[in-house]
Amino acid sequence: MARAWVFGDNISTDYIIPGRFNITTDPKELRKHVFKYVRPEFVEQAKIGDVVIGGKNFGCGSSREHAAIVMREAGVYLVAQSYGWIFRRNCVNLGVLPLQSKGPLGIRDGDDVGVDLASRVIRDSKGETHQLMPIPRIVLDIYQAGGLVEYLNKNATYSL
Amino acid sequence: MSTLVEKILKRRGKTQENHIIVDVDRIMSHDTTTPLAVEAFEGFTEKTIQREKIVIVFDHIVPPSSPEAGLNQLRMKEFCRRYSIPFYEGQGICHTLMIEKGLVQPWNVIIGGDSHTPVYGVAGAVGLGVGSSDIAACWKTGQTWLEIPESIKIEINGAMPNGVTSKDVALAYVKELTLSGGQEKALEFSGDTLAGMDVYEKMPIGIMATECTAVTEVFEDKSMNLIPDEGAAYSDELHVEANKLEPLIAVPHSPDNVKPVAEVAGKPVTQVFIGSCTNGTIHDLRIASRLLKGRRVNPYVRTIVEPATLDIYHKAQAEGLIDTLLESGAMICMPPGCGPCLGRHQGVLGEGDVCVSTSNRNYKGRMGSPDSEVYIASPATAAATALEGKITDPRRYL
Repeated sequence: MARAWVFGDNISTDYIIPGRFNITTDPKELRKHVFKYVRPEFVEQAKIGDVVIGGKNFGCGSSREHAAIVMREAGVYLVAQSYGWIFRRNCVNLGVLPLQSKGPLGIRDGDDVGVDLASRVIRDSKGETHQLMPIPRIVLDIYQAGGLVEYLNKNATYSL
Repeated sequence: MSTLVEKILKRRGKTQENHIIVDVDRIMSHDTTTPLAVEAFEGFTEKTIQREKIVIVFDHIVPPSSPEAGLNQLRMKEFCRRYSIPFYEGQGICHTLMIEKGLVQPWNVIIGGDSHTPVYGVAGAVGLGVGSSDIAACWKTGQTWLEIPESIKIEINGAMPNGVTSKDVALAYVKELTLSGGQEKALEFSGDTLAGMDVYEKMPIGIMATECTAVTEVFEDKSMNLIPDEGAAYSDELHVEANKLEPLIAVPHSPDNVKPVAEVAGKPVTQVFIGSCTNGTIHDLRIASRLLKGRRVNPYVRTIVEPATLDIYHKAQAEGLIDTLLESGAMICMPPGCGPCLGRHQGVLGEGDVCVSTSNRNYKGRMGSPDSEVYIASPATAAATALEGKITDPRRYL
């Protein structure tokens, strides 16, 4: 089991990593500023395998891939009710699978939760499981390849 | 029966159920998104490149304000040199520049490493904002994929009253649609208010679609046959009565937190910024100059004006606007770029700063310190505010 980091609606990529810190492409350096203005304790306390639970429109706003890089670098699972279009693509392209819940999960910040990617299920602190939304084939293909670069190294072009 | 966005996409692609693979006409990226795209491109085993489709713009931190930014830009230039890719440095903000240089044509599909790429809809193109990996992939394949979005029709009718600009029209629909209202959707704009506007005046309306998380957008234009099929299905419709609007302002910390300027008038400010891809065109400089001509800005308000492109700067100079602005006490920031809007340089806010900005986002810390405040408004409201030193309804000056 792992810790749930629960966020509200409309957490923009500016909140995931403020623009001022995107001056480097070094994932370790970027990781030091994740959620800096909205959840300063995340940088120190988040562990690999923790679960970030967003509300609606998680990752809206700027196209900065740095926001997806810090998610990958933090090694967290992502579950939200919905995502910003670009952020969701960026995550998949970097080999992070953004899972989507059908509605609010009733999970509170700090709860002990578990995610099973293969069956797309999240288990809450009471042991109840919630089935997450299906994933389009091309998204799964890109994710399973390890990201977009690896996908296009295996396939000459996209296949739907 | 297709929406206009569907029609444009389908001309350029192969569909399977609701997904499509499209051939893109142009691939734009800038100095924030290109460095990671270059790194991603280096990961390809076969480095084919669609160089004739690529445009790279140095606009986010020009010239660089830190050693890290300098290194990023050096790597970008090495990449441009290696593959003979055209680039613009210090020439202007990517979106305004792309339109100005004729690199956006009606019926085009353009991919851009910038969230505001949907704005190309003002020129009749479908613009898709993506991140760096998608840019690198498109450099290699010339293609991208997406789920064909449903469209929301936004009709804007009526003559804008005195003191109301296209930015106020934009804030009016963002308030209605909210930050998540455009999720997974395209916006299609029509109506007689838009008929009297050129592409540059439409830009604030186009840019702000991104703040509703729209996938893309397009403006109808009968002269280009840019119209949906009769009977095309829309997921929603929104009507804006421009003739009934008053000056509007998005208050901290969200672009959809929109109120009448009159409601927050009197709030003291410490900075005014007129510029960005949203409001940095000649229209905007004319509006600001009209208010500032023969007057002095409040000395406690750092007033920054940044033309969106070099061409706009030259035009403004020829019209005497640059002198008018300088004489009012405003600072003209050059080269044209994005700096202040995203808190990179040329006016980064400190703790306690309060800024009225003509840009597009006012998330906490967007323009600098998380303990600063950003209000998003029109160039008229921004200029009136600069004069008074507090948020001011511009109609008293017009």
